[in-house]
Amino acid sequence: MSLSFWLVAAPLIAAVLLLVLPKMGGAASRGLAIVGTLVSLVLAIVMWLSFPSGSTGFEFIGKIHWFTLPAMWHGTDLSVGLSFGVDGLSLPLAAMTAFISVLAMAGAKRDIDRPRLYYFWLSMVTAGLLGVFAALDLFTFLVALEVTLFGSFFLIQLFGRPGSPKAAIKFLIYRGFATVAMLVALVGIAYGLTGAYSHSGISGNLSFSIPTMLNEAHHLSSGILPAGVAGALLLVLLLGVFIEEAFVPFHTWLPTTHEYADTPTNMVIGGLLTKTGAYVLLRFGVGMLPAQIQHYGMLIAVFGVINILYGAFAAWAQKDWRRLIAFGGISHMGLVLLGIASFSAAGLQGAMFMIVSSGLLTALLFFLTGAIEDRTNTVQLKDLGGLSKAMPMISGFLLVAALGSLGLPLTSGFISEIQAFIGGFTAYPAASFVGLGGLILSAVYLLYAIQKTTFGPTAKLAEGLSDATAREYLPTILLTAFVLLIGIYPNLIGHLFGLSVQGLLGIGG
Amino acid sequence: MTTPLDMLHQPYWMTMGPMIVVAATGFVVMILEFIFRKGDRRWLTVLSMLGVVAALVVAIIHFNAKPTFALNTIGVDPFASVFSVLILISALLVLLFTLDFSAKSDVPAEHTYLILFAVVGALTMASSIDLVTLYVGLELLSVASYVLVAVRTHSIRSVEGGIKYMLMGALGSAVLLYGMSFIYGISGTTNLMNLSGAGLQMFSTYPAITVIGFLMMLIGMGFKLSLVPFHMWTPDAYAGAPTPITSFLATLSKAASFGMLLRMLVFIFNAPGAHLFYWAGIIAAITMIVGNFIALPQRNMKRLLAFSSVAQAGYILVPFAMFGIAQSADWAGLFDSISFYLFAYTFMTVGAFAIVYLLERDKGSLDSDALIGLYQRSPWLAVALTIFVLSLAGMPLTAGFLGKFYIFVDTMHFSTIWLGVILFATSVVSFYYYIGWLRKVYQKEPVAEVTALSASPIMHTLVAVCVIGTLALGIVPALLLHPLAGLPWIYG
Repeated sequence: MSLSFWLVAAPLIAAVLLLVLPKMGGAASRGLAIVGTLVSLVLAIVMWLSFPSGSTGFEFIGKIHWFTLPAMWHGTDLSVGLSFGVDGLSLPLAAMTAFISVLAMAGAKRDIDRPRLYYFWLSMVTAGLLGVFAALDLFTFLVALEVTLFGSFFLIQLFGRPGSPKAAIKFLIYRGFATVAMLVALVGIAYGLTGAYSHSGISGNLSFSIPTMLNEAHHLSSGILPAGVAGALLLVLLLGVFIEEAFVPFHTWLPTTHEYADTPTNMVIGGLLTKTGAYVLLRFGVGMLPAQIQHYGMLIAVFGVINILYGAFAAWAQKDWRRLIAFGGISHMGLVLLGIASFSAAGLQGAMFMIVSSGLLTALLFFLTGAIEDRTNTVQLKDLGGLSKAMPMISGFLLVAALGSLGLPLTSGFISEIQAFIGGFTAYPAASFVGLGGLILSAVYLLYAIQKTTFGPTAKLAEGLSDATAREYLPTILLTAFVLLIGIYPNLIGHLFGLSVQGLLGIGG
Repeated sequence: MTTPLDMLHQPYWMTMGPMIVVAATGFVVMILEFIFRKGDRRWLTVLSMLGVVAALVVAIIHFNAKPTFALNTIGVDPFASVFSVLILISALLVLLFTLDFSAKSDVPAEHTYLILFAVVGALTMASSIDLVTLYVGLELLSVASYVLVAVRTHSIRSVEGGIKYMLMGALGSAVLLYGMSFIYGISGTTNLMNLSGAGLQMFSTYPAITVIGFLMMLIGMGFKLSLVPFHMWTPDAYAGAPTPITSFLATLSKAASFGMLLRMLVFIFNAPGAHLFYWAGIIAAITMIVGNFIALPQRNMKRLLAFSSVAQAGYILVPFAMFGIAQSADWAGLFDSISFYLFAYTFMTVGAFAIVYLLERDKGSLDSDALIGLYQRSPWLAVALTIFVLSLAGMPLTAGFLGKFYIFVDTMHFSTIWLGVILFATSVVSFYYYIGWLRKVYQKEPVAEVTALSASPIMHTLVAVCVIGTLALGIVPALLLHPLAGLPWIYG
């Protein structure tokens, strides 16, 4: 078994153990879940360190044959299996998943009702997310995507704030439709690339293997898949991605979800789950339909700019920290779209950086506002104020997170935004210029919220509150450290992203 | 012409073995029921089950037999074998269900042999190649079902459901028969083998009448299959019938009707079918959409499962739309996806009804609030219900997902992707009501003292078998997919 197989299996094994072992208390359940995800994190680091330099393809590949669908229209059976592997794009995302999940578990409050069930679902979602990023088989990918869907649903439903069931249903319906759109598009792409229109002729065997599909896409530059079909497939894929990423006008599920979910769930959903759509667009859109991405580039770029601005304006208008962070995330992901639309090395790399940066910062913001809420019982801006006196550390880190989010140099936000905009300006200068407004707005809404929360006269409820505890320091410091580390030394993840950008552009160019 | 002497020398045992065994068991049980009027008579049900097991053995022995037909009418071929095995397995599950049911309620003992006679009808529908015998089989199944629904004569809802079912069922039979008469009128034969050769000529000479015949047969069977807009009887009959009989209507009766519809349409309309079969796709789309949306506000668990079974029938109808487009060499894949989904559907549906029945008996109510606290009351039954519901909704690792996925791949290939999209999109709608159930299952019961949900060993066995079936077909689908796809569905 390869490392990437165990990367996904470790949290899954922990989840199964949580389900079957009798008499697990809160601490034991949390410990088991953390160990499972920690194994994944260690494996991800090991793979990172031993990743072959210069490799633009998939490494650490592990396959298990599962079953075959009988041949209906051509020679061989359609092999369906569990197949995992990582490349320069998926390895950082997988590592980030394990990292944020471990911290979400470690930073979770200790008095959770039904801890076994809670950590079971948290481990399942982690395994599902790792599966999404590391899947090399379409069937594996779709199964993993459904696991994240149902896992998050139960986390929101069972462990959210009062009123969460409604939010959970909204989440399920929106993301359910996104999954359907992706399913249709991805099976369609598989069929188009490897089945009907294969370069090797009619005898092409339908394959769900993602490396095979990428390979076929490479040959496709000679134009075997009709442009109309490919364009339709991309539009369906975009629909799925847009819902998945909560882009306007499919965005309403995300703020509602964040408003009702608890802190660790928010870290996982905001930091990781909303990044799967961007990954899908990079992997399947840019990777397999490069010509169509360029063809519809303007559409994607305009959509990206609309989201940058709408997300920022909407965030400004929020009175609740969690909804503010949700809209800030939407604004960030709009920049990812702009980077992808540019279809340049800088733009794609900026998009990838932005996925990681937004993931880390969103998780950090949710964690810190969660810590504030634990003390004050509110995250409404109007009720907060003057927290910096009572809790200087939490307030300080919150400021760092906000500065990172608005793209201050030496934070991960800066390197992401600068690259995405460089890419954007080379391809769509007008749209990018308008999008720049988002940078200013992000400074406005974040600093406004910070000022309301930490500065100013001390609110009554802020009196006598304690600062961060040991449990809270660990995730805060580690997340902040990586935000700064990536900002100061981007090549830490940049060299891996660079490899996959080469791979992607090699196909498209 | 068959002379009387020839009639003695037909391979009856080989071609009609399962039917003979089940019918004989039915008569024996009927006579014994007259003789032993008192005491616990559940051994009659056990006897019936033994008869069905024997029939299953006979069916499996002849599974790979060369296609043979007695009197050119009833016989054994891969199609008949697969559907006979499916029907007998669901009969076994239903009888196991009634075994528990008859111990706990005052339902008349006639229902045991009525089920057996209905099974004979269903087997005839699966293995006949003549319109007349097909119709006789359908009526045998239907008449027995009408009585079974109304068997609790003291319950007004049971009788109401039975009457509605009978009226709508009779209407469906009439429409079906009228359609058959058109086909007979223009071809002069009721034998499917002869009709399959005559198709093209028939269509080119009388195109309008062929279309009318096709639609009437589809609509007639649509009543039996509760396809929209012919589904009105479904919720009342399902809710009124004793729950084991509801599971019988939802699985066995539906499987046999799908078998018959498939056999008739494919044999008669294969040649001119390209655009005729499209009508099945349109009805499938309407059924999926309406069935799922109408299920949304339901609070009564049996009515909800009734509408869900309407939607499920829509999913199963999707591959029908592709017979016109696919080459006959590719039909095996379509037969495969239909029969695989029927197997999956049988296990998950019977399982869901079994748990609904336990709750109904415990709480005396069919309101979905009865689900609240199920996880606390019986974790095992709660997990089992979760598996059935997720399978009905189409969650990976369950049989339901694989069935849908396989049908979806079909639609992709045969350029009817719009049906595949509707299939998955309406599944998302169904998440809403299925997940609504799960929410209640894992919700805590407000009362302080939690009583365990009691269930007999029989019901535990039934649920366990259904769980194993649902998971096995989801995790190792190759068990069934490949043998089914490898069968020589099309021969001669």
